[in-house]
Amino acid sequence: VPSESKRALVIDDNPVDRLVLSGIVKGLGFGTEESEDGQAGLDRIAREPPFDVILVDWNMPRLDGIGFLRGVRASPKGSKVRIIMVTGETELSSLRKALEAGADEYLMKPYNREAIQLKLRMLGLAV
Amino acid sequence: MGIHPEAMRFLREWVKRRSGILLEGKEVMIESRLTTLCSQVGLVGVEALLEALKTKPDSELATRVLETLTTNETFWFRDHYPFEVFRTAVVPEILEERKAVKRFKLWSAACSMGQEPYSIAMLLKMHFPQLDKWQVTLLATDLAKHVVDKAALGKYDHLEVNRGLPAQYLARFFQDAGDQWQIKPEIRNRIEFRTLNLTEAFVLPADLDVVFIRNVLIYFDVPTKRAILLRALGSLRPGGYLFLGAAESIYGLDLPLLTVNAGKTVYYRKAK
Repeated sequence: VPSESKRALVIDDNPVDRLVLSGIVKGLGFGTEESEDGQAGLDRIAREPPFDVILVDWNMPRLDGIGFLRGVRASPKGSKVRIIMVTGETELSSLRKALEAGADEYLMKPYNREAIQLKLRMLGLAV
Repeated sequence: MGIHPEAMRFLREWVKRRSGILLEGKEVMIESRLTTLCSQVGLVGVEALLEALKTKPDSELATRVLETLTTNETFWFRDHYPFEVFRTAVVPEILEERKAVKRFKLWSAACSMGQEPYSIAMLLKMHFPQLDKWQVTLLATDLAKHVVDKAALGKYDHLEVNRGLPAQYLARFFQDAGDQWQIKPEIRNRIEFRTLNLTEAFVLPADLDVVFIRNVLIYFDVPTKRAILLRALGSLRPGGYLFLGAAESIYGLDLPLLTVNAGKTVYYRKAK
């Protein structure tokens, strides 16, 4: 991964989902790191250089996606990072809750590479 | 499998005669869509479908075939940049130019399943609340009736909303509809949907401010392209704005249009 690559963090407790999403984001030119739940994600953000974008699942043990959003938005290192919630929650009330908690974008599972690319482009992050 | 070359030629000519649309190099799309249509209407194969077209050229089935072959999948805020420049440059200019009459008229000429006119209407509502006090006319047309009906319904599945619809827009302008999402009446009611064949003579509201005729001209030959744009320009006011698709241009068409380069996109203005 070239050092000038943008950095992405993928947070999902399902290893297969994490691998798939990570692979797509990597294919779009990002350097990627992975965490297995919201708390692990917060810990990683605290100790690593800043990420350009975080893709986070909703339903996870320990700390879920909403808890993660609130935590990261309250931390000095996470106030500006772009965050996409990637989830199987499809009710608009859920979408609105995620936006209120600090998500910039919301993508419903199942998704494909094109959908990820379009969301990244909306956030000014991919060609 | 595969459609016989002669049958393919017949189909292409038939579609061109009916709609003006050229389907050169689209064999895979044609076969895949017609195979799906066959299974929907209970025909055993594409050959049976062609036989039906030849014997009953004006049947409902013929209409279905035409619609199946001329419908495009589409995106919300397609290509992103044209909508950026529409929001940051074009609409502010129109607000200034039309402030005396407070009238704003737009036409989405190949609206497909509705993503383009709804993108425009949502963008106007989100960023230009002052237009609530204006008379805004947004006409959306497409060739195929079933496509226009679907557009007017404004109901989309999960794959469709994932194709470029920003979450803020989904949250604000849609409502849950089972496992789909439907555009709210406040946006739906701002748009007039109609069927229209671009290759036939058509009458539009006069004095249009903006015409979106995107990703449809690529299907026509040069004389047809020029004729369509000339008719559209007949309804566009002097100084009015024209948006084409990212892969389309007016090069070589000799039209009274000025090209405006706007960074990552271009748009056109009718000469005053």
